[in-house]
Amino acid sequence: MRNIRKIGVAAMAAAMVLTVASCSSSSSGSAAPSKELSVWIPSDDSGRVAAYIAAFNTSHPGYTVTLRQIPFAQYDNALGQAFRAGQGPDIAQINGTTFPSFASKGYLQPIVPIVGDTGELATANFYPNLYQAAAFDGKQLSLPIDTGTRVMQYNKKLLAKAGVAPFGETTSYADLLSAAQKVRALGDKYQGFCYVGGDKWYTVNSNAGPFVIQSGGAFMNKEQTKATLDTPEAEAGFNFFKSMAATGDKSNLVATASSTCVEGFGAGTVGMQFDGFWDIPSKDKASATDFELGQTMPKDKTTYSSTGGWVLGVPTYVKSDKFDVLKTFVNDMYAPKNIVQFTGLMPATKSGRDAATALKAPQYDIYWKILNENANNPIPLNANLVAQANLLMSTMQSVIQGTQSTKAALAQAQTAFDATLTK
Amino acid sequence: MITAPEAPTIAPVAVSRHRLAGAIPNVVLSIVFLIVMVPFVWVLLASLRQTNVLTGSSFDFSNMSLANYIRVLEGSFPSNLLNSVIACGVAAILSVGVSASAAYAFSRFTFRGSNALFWLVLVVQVVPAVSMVVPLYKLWADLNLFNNIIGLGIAYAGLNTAVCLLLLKGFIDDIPRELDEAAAIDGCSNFGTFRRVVLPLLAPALTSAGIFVIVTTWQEYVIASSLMNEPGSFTATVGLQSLVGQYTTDYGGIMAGSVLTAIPIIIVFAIFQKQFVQTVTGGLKG
Amino acid sequence: MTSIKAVGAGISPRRPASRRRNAGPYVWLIPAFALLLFVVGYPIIENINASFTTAAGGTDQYVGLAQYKSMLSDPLFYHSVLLTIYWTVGVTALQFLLGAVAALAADRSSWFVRRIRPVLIIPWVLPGVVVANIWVVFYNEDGLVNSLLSLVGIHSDQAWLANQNTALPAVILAAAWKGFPFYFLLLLAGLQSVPVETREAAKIDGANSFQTLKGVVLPQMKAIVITSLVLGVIATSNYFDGIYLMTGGGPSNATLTLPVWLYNTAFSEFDIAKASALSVIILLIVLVPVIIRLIAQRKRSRR
Repeated sequence: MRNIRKIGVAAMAAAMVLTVASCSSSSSGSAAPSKELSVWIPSDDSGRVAAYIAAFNTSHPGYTVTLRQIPFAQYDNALGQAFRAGQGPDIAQINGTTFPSFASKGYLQPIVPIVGDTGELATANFYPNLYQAAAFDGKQLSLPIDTGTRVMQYNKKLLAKAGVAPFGETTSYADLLSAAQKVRALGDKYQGFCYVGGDKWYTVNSNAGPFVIQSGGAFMNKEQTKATLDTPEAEAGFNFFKSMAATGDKSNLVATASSTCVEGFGAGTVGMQFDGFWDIPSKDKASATDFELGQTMPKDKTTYSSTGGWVLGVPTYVKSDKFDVLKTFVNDMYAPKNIVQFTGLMPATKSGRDAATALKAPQYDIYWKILNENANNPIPLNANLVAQANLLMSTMQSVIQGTQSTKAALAQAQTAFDATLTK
Repeated sequence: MITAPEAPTIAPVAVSRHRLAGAIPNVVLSIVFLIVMVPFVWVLLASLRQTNVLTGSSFDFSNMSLANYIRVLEGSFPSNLLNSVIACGVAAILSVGVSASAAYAFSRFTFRGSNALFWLVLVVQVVPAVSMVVPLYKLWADLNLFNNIIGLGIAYAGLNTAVCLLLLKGFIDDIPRELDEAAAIDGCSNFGTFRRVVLPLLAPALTSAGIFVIVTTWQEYVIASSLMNEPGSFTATVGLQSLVGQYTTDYGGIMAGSVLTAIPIIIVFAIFQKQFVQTVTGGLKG
Repeated sequence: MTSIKAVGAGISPRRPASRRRNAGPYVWLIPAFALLLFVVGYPIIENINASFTTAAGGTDQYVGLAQYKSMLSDPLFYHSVLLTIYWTVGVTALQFLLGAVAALAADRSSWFVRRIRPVLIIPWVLPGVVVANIWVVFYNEDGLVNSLLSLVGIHSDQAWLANQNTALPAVILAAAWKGFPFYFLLLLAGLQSVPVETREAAKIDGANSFQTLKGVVLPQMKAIVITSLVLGVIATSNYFDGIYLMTGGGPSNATLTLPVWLYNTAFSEFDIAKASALSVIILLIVLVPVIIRLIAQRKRSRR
C-alpha cells in the first residue's frame, strides 16, 4: 500500500499483457492440421469417459485429446456461454433437450461432412428417431450418443403392504392411481407417487409429458403450428398426473432433482416413480427387506419414450484444421465397445446396443422394447423448446395446486404456447 | 463489541422514569436476538446430526457427530475455501489500491470533467451483477482469465471499485486540507503529499474499505458460478451450491457446508466489526 | 442486501477554488477507471450492443428495437415487474421495520446492549447461498416454520415454497431476516448522532420518550432514513442469489423477479439478445432512484 502509483502501473501493465496475450492467441489461424482436441462432457463420476480418452490417446500416438468435465448443474450454462463467446470445446456432449436452443442460434455446424457417415456412423446404424432428434431444421447438427426411456417403476413390496397385486407389463390409469392412493393411506411418511416438479425437463419427460402422450394427446400438432393443450386428451393427461401427484409430498412440486424420490423409493417409503433405469435405486441405497422393483407402462394403447439422452456437436467456431482429429476421434468413439463405455445409458447405435451387455438383464427389457418399438419425443424439438418446457412446468404447477381448474389453466397455456410457435 | 459508530463519547439516553418502560427495549432486543439466533442454533445442530436422521422439526440433541464435517472436508471444499480467500484478498487489495488514488484526485484536484466522471462512478455501482455475467464471461474467456482465481479476484475488484472510491473519498474529504498545504509548502509534490500526509492518515480507512470488500465478496455467488466452472476452481459459495446439487437429501452435509462457508466471514467480522460498522455508517453520511 | 452501495455518498458541496490546479489529476484516475471500464463498462456497452441484435454466435444481426418491442408485448414482463415491486416493497418494509425497532431498542449503552449488538449484524454478512439453504429446509412440510407454528397451536403441513401464493412472502421473509441489520446499523448510527443535549432539552420541556422521538429525533434523521432507503431499494431490487437458489423463480413464476428472469433467459433459454435487452431495462429502472437522489443532493448543496 506504500506506493499506490506502482500498484496502478502494475495493474495497467498486467491488463495490457493480458490483452496482448489474447490478441496473439486469437490471431493464430494456422492452416496446418491440429492434432489437439478439446472435449467437454458433464462430470462423469464413474471415470469411464476419462478412461476411454486416456486409452484413445495411447492408441493414437500424435493425437492429444483433452477432456474437460463440468458439473451437470452448470453444464448447460457453461456450454451456452462458451458457444456465445466463441471459445470453448472443439466437440461437446450436449443435452438432447438443450440442443435445439443451441442449434437454432447457429452455434453448431453440420457434423456429418466432418466425421463422415461410413462404418459405425452410417445413418442406418442409428435409431431413426434419435438420429432425427439430433438434427435441426433439416441439418444434421449433431449425432445422438444415447437415450433414456422411462417407465412407471414401482416397489412390489410396498404395494403388497398396501394390498395391491403386482402390475403386468402395461396397466390402466385407474389401477395406478388406486395403488398410489392405497400406499398414501398407509401413513404420512409414505408417498404413493413421487415426482420432480421443479425442473422443466422432468415436466416434459417424466411428468405431464408422458401422461398427455399416453392419453393419446400431444403438446402441439405435427406441423408445429398450433398448440394442442386445449384438447380433452391433454386435459385427461394433466388431470391424471394431478391425482397421482396428490399422493406424494407437497414439496415434490418444487423438487429439482430425482434423488429424493430415488432414496425414498429404495427405502420403501415411495410407491412409484416415473423414471429411467438409471434411477433404479442401487443396491447400497435400496434396503433388501423393503424393496423389490416392478416396472410397467401406464395404459395399454401406446408405448412412449423420450430421447432423454445426449448428442455430440461441433461448435461453429471450430475451423477446418481440427477436422482431421475430429473425424478420427468420433469414428473411434462410436466403435461399439467405446460408445458403451462413453455412456451409462442406452447407446444410440444398433451396434452399440448389441455390445451393451451390462444392460441385458431382464429388468432392462421394457426399456429396450420401448426403444425398439417407438422411441419418440413427447415434445417436438424446436427453437423455443426451453420456453415451452418452462411454460408446461408452470402450468403443471398451477394444475397441481388447484388454484384454477385444469381446463382454465390449459386454456391459458394454449395461448402462451401458441405465441412460442409464431416466433 | 460494537462501540457506537462515530460517537463513543455519547452518554446513554436519560434513564427512564418508569422501570417497566425501561424494560421494554431489553425485551424487544431479546426477541430480535432470538429471531437471529434460532436459525443459527438449528443449523449448527442439523450440521452435527447424522445424515437422513434430519426431519427438520425439532431441536434434537441425539446422534451428534462430526461425520458431516469430515465428509464435506474430504471433498474439494477446503480448496474452495482457499479460493475464496484468494479471490477476496486480490479483490480487496486491488480495489482499495486503485480507488485510493482516484479518491484522492476527486477530493483534492479540480479538473475538467471531474463531476461527469464522478457521476459515472455513481451510476456504475448500481448495475446488477447478474446482468454482467454474460459479457464478462466472453471477456474473461478472451483474456484467458477463465477458471483463474486471480481473474475472479480482478472481476471482484472491478465490481467493488466504485463503492470503495466513494467510501474513501468521504474519508479523504475529512482530512484537513491544511495538512496538504503545509506539506506543499515544505516542498512535497502531489504524490509526496499523498504518500507522506494522506496515506498514513488514511490507513484505518483503507483497512475498513478492504474489510468491506472482503465481506461483500465472500458472499458473491452468480459471477463466481459463471467464471469458475471446474470443481477445483470453485469458491466456497459455488462449492456449497454444488454440494446441494450432489446430495439433495443430505441435509447434514449441506448444513455442515453452510456452517463452514459462514464461519470464516463471521470471524473476519468479529475481528474487524468496529471498522466494518464505521465503513457502513461513515460512508453514508452524504 | 448483499452489499451496501454507497450511492451519492461523498458528493460534497462544491468547495471554494482552493484546489490546486494540476495538469496530471487524470493520472491518478487511470488505474481505477481502467479497472471500471474493463469489468463494468465493457459489459454494459456489450449488453446495450447485443440488445439491438439477434446475438447468435458469430453472426449477430442488427434488429433494431425488436427485442425491446417483443419484451414490452410479453405479459410475463409486466408480471415480473409487478413481482419485483412487491418483492422490493415487501423486503424493504420488513427490513426497515425490524431494523428500526431493533435500533430504537439498542440506542442505549448497557452491558446487555453492548453484547447483543454485534450478534444482530451477523445475518447480513452471511452469504446468500447459506441463507437460502437454511431457509429452504425451514419451509419444508416438516420444517422449522411449521413446527414453530404448531407451538402456537397452528397445525400446518404447508410446503411454503411450493405454493404459488406463499412462495413470494416466504422468500421475502427469509430476505428480511438476512438484510435487516443494514437498516439496524444505519438507523442506530443516525439515532446516536442526535446530540444528547437536544433530547434532554426536550425532556426538560416535559416531552415523554415518544414525543421526543417524534418531535426531536426523527426530523434530524430524515437524511439517513432517505439514504438508507434508496440504497436498500436498489440493492433489494437487484438481489438475485437468495430468490434464485430458493425457488428458481417458481412455482408457476410466482417469484420470477426481473433479475431471476434475466438469469433464466440467459442461462436456461440461452436467449442472449433478450437477456441483454432485459439488463438494459433493469439498469434504466435502478437508475431512477439514483437520479432522484442525485438531484435531491444537488438541490441541497445549492441551498
